[in-house]
Amino acid sequence: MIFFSNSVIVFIFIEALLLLLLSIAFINVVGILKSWDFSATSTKQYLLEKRSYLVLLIIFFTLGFKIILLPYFIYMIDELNVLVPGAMCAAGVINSNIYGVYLLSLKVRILFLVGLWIILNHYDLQAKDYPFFKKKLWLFILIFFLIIAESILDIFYLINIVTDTPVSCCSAIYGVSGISNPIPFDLHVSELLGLFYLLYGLTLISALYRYALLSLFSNMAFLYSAYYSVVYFFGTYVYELPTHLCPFCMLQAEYFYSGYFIWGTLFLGTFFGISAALLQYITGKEIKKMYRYSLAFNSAFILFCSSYVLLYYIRNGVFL
Amino acid sequence: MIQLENINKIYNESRPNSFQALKDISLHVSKGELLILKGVSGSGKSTLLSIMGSLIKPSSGSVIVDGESIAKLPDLHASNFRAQKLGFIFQSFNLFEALSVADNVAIPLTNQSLTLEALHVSVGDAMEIAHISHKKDTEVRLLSGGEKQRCAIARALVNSPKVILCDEPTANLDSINSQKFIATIKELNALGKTIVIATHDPIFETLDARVVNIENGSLLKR
Amino acid sequence: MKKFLPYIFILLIMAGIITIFLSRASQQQMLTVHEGNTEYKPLPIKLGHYQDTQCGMPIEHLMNSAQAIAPNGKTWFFDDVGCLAIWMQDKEFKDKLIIWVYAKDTKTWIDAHKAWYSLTDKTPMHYGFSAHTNKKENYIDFVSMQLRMLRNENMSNPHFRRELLGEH
Repeated sequence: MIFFSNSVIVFIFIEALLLLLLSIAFINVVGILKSWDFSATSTKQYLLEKRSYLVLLIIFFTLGFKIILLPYFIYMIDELNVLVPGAMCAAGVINSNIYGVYLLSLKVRILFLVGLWIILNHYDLQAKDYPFFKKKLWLFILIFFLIIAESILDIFYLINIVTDTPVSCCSAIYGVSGISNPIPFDLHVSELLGLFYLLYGLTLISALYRYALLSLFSNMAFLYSAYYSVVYFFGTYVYELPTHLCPFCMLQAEYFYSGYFIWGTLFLGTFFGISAALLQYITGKEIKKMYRYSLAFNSAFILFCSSYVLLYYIRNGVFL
Repeated sequence: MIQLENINKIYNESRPNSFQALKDISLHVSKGELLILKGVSGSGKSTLLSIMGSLIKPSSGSVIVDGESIAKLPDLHASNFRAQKLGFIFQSFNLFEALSVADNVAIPLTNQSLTLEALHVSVGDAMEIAHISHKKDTEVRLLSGGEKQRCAIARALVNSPKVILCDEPTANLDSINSQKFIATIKELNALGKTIVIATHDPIFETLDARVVNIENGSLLKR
Repeated sequence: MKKFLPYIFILLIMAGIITIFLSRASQQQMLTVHEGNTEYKPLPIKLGHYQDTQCGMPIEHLMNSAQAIAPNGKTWFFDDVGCLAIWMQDKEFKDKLIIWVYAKDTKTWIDAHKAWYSLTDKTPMHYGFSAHTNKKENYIDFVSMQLRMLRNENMSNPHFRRELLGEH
């Protein structure tokens, strides 16, 4: 029944088209990688250079569309909550079968790699002699295989979305069960928040002073702690309800789609922080802009989340 | 200044109508040299000139201009290289008829991030050398053939190129204007510019220049 | 000094992070099972650091706590004898367990099978069964206590609670 939904049809169509284009690009990339020698002035090399221009263009546009497709995927599963009994938001739909969480996690990881590829491609094209050409093609091959896995998971997930059996809503999925603490390392919320702000401090220092290794690890740790902090603390101030724990409900209109800003800034901030380090390792060059973007987005994320708490306190005189 | 090694150019490669325009050409042009590429229509001289100017890539072989392997440059860098190092004078001028002389001359400087003042100075100097300053505000469509050619020369000079490439520059000029063009070429060569002229016009025999004959895509040995 | 400032901040932040984890770890050294108790004696329970195997709660008081020792010396701990009753029902070695309960009246460890259990006492998991050395009216034996736990006839069941307390 979900396959009659407009958003699902659009999603499947675009995914199939992108996969087709990426497959064509993949076949060409394998051929280019086998014979590429930029210093050569043979006919074969000139033809490879000509072909690689088109192939890279195809890859650039399809991967660019993949970036847009993730928020659309989230919008799509949020829309499907009306068809899935028991689901009040995307959380219920994503957890309606075992594939959902793995699929979403894989999509986010692919997005990271896609962003990395786009930036690496940009710096490669800026140079006269394609210094990162082979590296970016190998990265594309990795991304391609992950996208194949993603497509398979997409099919399994969509086929297995139940419309006749109630699923758990976000309160059941993310709520504290009484016995086990869902926050990792059995941290209390106050300890989690302490960790969250301390890790932000680390990302801040790593961005200001451009410490690559510190940026890599602090942003990874910050992303991890930020996810739990948003779900188990800041989210409650978005919903103004201490028992409402959900990363997806804040994507809805009634909360002014604030979830897109929250998750978007977090993703971008940590992406730039992690990528700055990875690209420095790959290219051998320090890319100052990336650190600045990481600083900007992480700070925007922190300010936005903290402002919910502050505004609540100002309005009500108490915390939740 | 210009080094061509084993240049081959095949149009429509791997197709039934493929045609080899250049066959294993090796040619060196020294800095400040004036070279005439002489050959009849279809001999491959325009193709060779376009390869020298990075307008097209060879099928094989290397092209080094002012130390840069231009055939290997990606399009963006090739465009930048042309804008900074090369000047072109085409047979059909390739000017924008609706724009003025000054505007046409300024076009190569569009992406150079110059201030308006610096731009005006460069354009003025180029028009001065090409003896077309008196027509700076005139629309190109109102110029004579000779004046259009001077406008094209000014445009070729505005970015202070090290190399000037001319493809049949006198094809659309009468003999008087052709003579004037030759005089201008001598002046430019005296300024230290490396100049390559692809032509079959015998008027260029009056120039004190090296002549290389090209026939059916190959250089003729003297 | 200015050169070292970022490093100082990093060290301070790392110290803060380590402090958080250390404080969590020190609260968290929960023991759920002890190996090698081949003497089958009741082990001393470190309050706040031993965890009930069945319900996961830390054992905060000796009162109402219990220990079950398997033939191989493995010892499990419980903050409420009701939890022990639930836990042992599916164990193959349940008949071979040596079970100690902390008696409320004599404040000593006694054999669970020899203890008597009240029905309406306040216990950590609200089951109501508190172990006593000495029998009193309405106290039941271990087997009866087990049965009542498995049939949910205890104080945690609101319907049964009313009956036990004589409320109508």
